[in-house]
Amino acid sequence: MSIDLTSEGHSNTVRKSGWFELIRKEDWWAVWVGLFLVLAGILFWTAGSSIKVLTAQIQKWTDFPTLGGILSAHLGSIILLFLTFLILFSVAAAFLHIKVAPFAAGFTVLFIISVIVNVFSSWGWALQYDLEAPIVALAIGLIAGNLIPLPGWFSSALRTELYVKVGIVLLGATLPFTLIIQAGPVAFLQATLIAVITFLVIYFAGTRWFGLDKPLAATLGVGGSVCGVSAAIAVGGAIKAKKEHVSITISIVVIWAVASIFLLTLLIKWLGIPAGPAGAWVGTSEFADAAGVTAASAFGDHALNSFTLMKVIGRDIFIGVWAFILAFISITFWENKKAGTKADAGEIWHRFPKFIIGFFAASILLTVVIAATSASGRLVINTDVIAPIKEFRTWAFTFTFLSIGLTTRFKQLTSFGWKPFAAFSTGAVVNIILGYILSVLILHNFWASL
Amino acid sequence: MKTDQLTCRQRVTFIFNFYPHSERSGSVVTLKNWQNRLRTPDSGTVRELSNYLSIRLEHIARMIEILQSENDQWIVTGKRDRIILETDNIDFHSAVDALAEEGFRAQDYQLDVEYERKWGIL
Repeated sequence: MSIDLTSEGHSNTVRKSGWFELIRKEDWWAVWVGLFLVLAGILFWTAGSSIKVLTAQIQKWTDFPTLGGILSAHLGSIILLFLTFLILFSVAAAFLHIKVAPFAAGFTVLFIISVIVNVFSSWGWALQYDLEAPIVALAIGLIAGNLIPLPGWFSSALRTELYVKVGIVLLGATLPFTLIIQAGPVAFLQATLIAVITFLVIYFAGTRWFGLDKPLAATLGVGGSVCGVSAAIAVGGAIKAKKEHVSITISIVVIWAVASIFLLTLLIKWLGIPAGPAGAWVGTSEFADAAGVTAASAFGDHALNSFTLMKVIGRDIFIGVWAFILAFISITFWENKKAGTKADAGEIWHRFPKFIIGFFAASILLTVVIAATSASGRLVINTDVIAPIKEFRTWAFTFTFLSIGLTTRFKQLTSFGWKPFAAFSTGAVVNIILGYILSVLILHNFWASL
Repeated sequence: MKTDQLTCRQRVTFIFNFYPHSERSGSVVTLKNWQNRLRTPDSGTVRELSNYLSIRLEHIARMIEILQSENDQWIVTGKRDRIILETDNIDFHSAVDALAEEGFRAQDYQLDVEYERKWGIL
């Protein structure tokens, strides 16, 4: 079954821009949902309460009587958590022109599967074999999504990008802004060095060794070095690449991103790499945010923090800059003049991933609140504000892991020849090796001590 | 490649400015220049503008006809100083080729191409 919900009856409308984007873009809704939860956490705390009542952490269990006790003790919180997410995401869905009733029904099923995944990964037997929630959710999703035809109403709730962006905004609240300022420049330098090398390897391998068109090689290059699909569609539009070229790049990125989740997770475990450098490596070498979060989540909060600093601060922010530079190169050196490419500096803001504003805002907000609080008050903030926000984040990421698996249908990807795949893979291998050298060998102490 | 296997959508926007950027610094009197010269208008200035607009609007009308003959699902929007055609039902290359066959080049229009991932793509 082929499902395409991007249009949802609105493909033939004049595109709105400007302030209208604040309620029509998924990126902005990730900001609103994430900041709403952060503000709710602070307001509950100032009122002497806590949003802990809305969150549910399922503890380790080894037998069914224990599990029954845990579930009955947390049933109220699980229902409140479900209702909170259902209301927030349904409001977002309504403004994004997604039909609310099917979305709500689909989200209900997604939430129930998420509870099952969390219950399974909290089982002593699963913990013994390192079957963490991200890998379990991804595997279940991939198997179900590729073997079972999913109904449209369920599919409408599989919003990978929305869930991962909400999770990243919430993650901002748990990262002190001082840490972002401290680690940001290192992340930027490491990510930029590797991104530029990877781009050049893919571009030159593509054009010199495999005889690809320059625009295709460039689109493959940014897909493999900057930010996967987001970069491919940004640069594809900016340099007016062919639709087939963008489509091929997206397909290769998806295959590599999903394969890299398993590959990087296995390599990190096999090499016994600590969480901080592991997260930095994933942040350097994964192409997609959602896929990277899946891999990094398996190694805990420290890995998630270094992953986010590397991927979001070091790479995602600069999608627009890459689009602008490549548009300039395209018009100067490659241009098919009749297509009328124009390098526009406005691209830098237009392509900027807006959810990162929510990530920064959440970090600044909590940093200011903590700075204005006494030492004893900070302990309360940790338990009553930050810990519940981490729980919300964990659930948002679980929806992400499941959505990745359930929406990645390999047989629906664009067919492509071996040459684009070989060019991309050359760069991807170089990227993984360089990511290991910089994250684990050279900057090990920096990332480990964050 | 099968089109139902494409992993992205392409949105094409043609903008026909009444006064293209390429001609604003040239010898043709643009509206802005003309307004600046209103303090000392003369019959020659008015005729120059009239001739320019007549030719330019005829070119725009012809380009719209060409594009509509290639695809009948354009969303057409009129603005004070430009006309905008948008669609996601045609590849921009075929539209550009059709315009080029009739002698229209990149400087005659502004073309924006926007890609978006298809639903469910990571």
